[in-house]
Amino acid sequence: MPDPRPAAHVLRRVPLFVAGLGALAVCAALSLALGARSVPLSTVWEALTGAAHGPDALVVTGLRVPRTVVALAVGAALGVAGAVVQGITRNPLASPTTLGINAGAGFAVVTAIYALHLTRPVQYVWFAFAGAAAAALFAQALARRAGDLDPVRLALGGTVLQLVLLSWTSTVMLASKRSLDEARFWLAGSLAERPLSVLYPVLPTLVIGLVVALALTPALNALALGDDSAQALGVPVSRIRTVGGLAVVLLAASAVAVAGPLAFIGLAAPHLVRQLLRTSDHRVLVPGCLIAGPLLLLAADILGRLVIRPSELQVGIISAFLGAPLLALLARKVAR
Amino acid sequence: MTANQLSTHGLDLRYGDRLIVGGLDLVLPGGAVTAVVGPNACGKSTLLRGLTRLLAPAAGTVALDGADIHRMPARALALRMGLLPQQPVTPDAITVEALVRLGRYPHQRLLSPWSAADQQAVEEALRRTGTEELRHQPVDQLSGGQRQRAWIALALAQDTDLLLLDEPTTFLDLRHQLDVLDLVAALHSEAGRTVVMVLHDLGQAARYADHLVVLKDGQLAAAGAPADVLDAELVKSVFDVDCRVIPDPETGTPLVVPKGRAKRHTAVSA
Amino acid sequence: MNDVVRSAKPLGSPTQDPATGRKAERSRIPLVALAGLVVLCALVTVSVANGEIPLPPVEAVKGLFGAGEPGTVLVVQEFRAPRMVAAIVAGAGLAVGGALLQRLFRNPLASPDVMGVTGGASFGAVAMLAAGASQVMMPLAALGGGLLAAVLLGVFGWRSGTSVTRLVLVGLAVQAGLSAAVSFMVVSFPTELAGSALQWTTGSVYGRTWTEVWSAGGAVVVGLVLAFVLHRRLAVLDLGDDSAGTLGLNTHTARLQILVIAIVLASLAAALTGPVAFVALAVPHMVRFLAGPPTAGTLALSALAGAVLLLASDLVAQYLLPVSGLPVGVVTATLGAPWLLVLMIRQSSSVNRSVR
Repeated sequence: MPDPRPAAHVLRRVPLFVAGLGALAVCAALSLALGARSVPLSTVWEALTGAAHGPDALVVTGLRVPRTVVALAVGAALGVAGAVVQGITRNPLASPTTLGINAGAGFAVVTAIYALHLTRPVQYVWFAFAGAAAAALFAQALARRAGDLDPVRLALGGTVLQLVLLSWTSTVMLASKRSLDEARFWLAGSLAERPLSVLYPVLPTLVIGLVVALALTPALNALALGDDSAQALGVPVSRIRTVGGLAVVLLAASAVAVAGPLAFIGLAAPHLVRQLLRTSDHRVLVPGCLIAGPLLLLAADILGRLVIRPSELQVGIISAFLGAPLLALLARKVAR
Repeated sequence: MTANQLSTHGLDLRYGDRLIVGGLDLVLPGGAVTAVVGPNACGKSTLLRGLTRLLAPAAGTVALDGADIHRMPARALALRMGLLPQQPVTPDAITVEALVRLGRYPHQRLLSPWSAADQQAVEEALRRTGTEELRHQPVDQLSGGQRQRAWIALALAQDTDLLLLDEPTTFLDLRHQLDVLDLVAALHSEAGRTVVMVLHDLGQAARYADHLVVLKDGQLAAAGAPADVLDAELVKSVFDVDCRVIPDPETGTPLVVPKGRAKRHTAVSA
Repeated sequence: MNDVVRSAKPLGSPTQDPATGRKAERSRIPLVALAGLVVLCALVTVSVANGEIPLPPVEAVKGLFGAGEPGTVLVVQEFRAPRMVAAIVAGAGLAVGGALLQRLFRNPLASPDVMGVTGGASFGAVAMLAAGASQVMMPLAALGGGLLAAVLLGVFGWRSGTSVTRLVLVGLAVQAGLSAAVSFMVVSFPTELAGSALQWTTGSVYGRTWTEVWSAGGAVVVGLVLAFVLHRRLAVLDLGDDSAGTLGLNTHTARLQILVIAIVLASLAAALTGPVAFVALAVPHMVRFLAGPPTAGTLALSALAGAVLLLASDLVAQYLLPVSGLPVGVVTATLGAPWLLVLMIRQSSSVNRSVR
């Protein structure tokens, strides 16, 4: 059982948290400096403080600051969503995508592109959010049994839903070349062309989701002991699952609405935190994912900008490429 | 050496880096019922896994009638030795009869059909364990005692000279514990099967076993007939429990009676 | 971590006696099998009778066996039969592959996707597209890709004393990596090529020739036969490693054998139809809901059901949909999903965990 006095065990972890924040700051700085054109850090600083106004500075303030901020927000949302979904399903392989969230968003966006001739990510936000939320809520409704979420049904239903929605998405794209052309970039998951205005609509849901997730952490610890034990400890198991599910939907739908479907961040961040901090205590895990998620996402994004300079590889593709060896590494650690 | 005798020589068994059983020299007499007892984590189950080839020895050997079991083909060993594992994995909704049929696996070749001998062995196994009426019931819907008997039937259908049971009575109520132990005793007395079982209850072990093996920390603490081996000193040194060992009023075998510890259990008179 | 692979399986109807053939107590397998065969025959008839030149059903069926007018025979045997046979064989292969994997991993979500096979097949096919090869090479490339995924799985995931959890994780990793590669190619291709890539990855039976069908299909049939021959080993494996080991089964080898068969079946099926993932995942579940817990009989039933589903979907895609040229994968998912979900919801008994 985790230490009931929060202060002590958090204190032990403080150095690691500080290190994590430091790493995040470094990543953020790199994100501001690197890209199709490299901007020296001094110029970055001057641009931020308003001292410089040249083209480099404009790139920093106009493009990279929003991009970095969006990455921080999306990464945090995905990381926390991953931790929560793994907690409520007690399944270390669960990720925000298993509820059909990404597929739902994808289908909604492609349909919107097809029917309404939209062209910019900013326009997709509402549709993506609606599609993601609808799919996830449907998956959760399917999984309801005796007032609680059955984890097997949830996983199976979510996967089936995902397959169906993916196939419908492909259909629309095959039916309309224009849609295919527009949508395939968004569907790969990217942080490009995401001004801060893209973030504003989902900011409320993001914040609510984060707050709820943080509030749930003690209950998630109890849940990890098993439903019966948790119930005996006074945790209303089914209600916690429902609320947790809602938090996941809010966070993951917000993330996908902004950046498109991103794989692995939600799966990998909790595992990273668990390994580095050697903990399963959600009171440490969730805040840790607040740092690990953006760290992973920013790292992937920076890599995407550098790897085929001057053009750019979508962060969704990079994160999947990175996620693969990460999973394999995880596999090696599995004893037995 | 008696027939169907299992023996170990300098056996080391490890899980990863941890040495569970070290340098064990043991003889389990053939044609007898042997009980393996000891405190938790003393290596009883590990020993059983070593004896059934589920765990390869880090050092030393395990021999059946003098032949190293790790050099025998798996099927050959399966024809001589059957195991009831500690927490058997029951396949989803499988019926008792289907479960017991699987016990004939070592007797079947790749493409051989189901033979009359196979069927007879299954029927016999069901009869001996009293599970005939349950044959079409799904095993996972049976009570603990019935399920245990179904698994014993599987081991019986395997038709082996040796039967090893890993904690067959843990999780069962008193009545079913005795049922299982009586069944095991009958299997021994009727067909001379060699039985090795891991038990927790010292009194039961003393009642049903011809030979007792006591382990502590992966080492042999004592081995021999229960009446010879089981006394208060042994219980104190192995289990760290003060007790009296008296003859069981029913059977005369040693019965362990722990000394009173808590205030409410102070003896009425010494 | 145990929750990952030891997960609950829904109970079939109670008091099921697996098809031992003796004293079968209300086994539903024969009934469902009969229904399936009838439907399959009907679908075959529809498949050979329809097309650009509509043929009377009786004539068409006769033509399938080489009797009747030479013109009819030509049309049926050269143009329609290959596609139909491809759908049947691939459907059977995918369903059985999925059933084997689900039993092997004791996880209802196991499917060739988990092993990375479908990702590999897509990768192979799309890479071939990128290299500018003709349609003819695609099935071979898909097969190669699927086997590549299997090799990667073996290299990273296989150690003595296999942990199923590790295999699942590595399989997911391989799948992720390969589908990321596919995603990359879809994004980087010019639009037409991206469209073809998308077409392939969603699954299609269009334009299969007899060569392809004989080679891939023949191999699938061999794989199916092997799967049945080895079924006893699978049943023993179900008892857990301890019991299986003491029954004389080399669990390590047996798992490997069955795994290889499942992967080969799925790769070959993907070579014929592209990665139609839904069949492998869903058909075993449907069969369990209809006919009870896994036995050799239900395995055969899965093959039948997979064939029926894929052929039906193909026919729907060809003749019933307003949009033409739609990949069969779309229809299978759309047809199959509601059915599976309804079955899942209707199942009223509580979900049991297998006794650990």
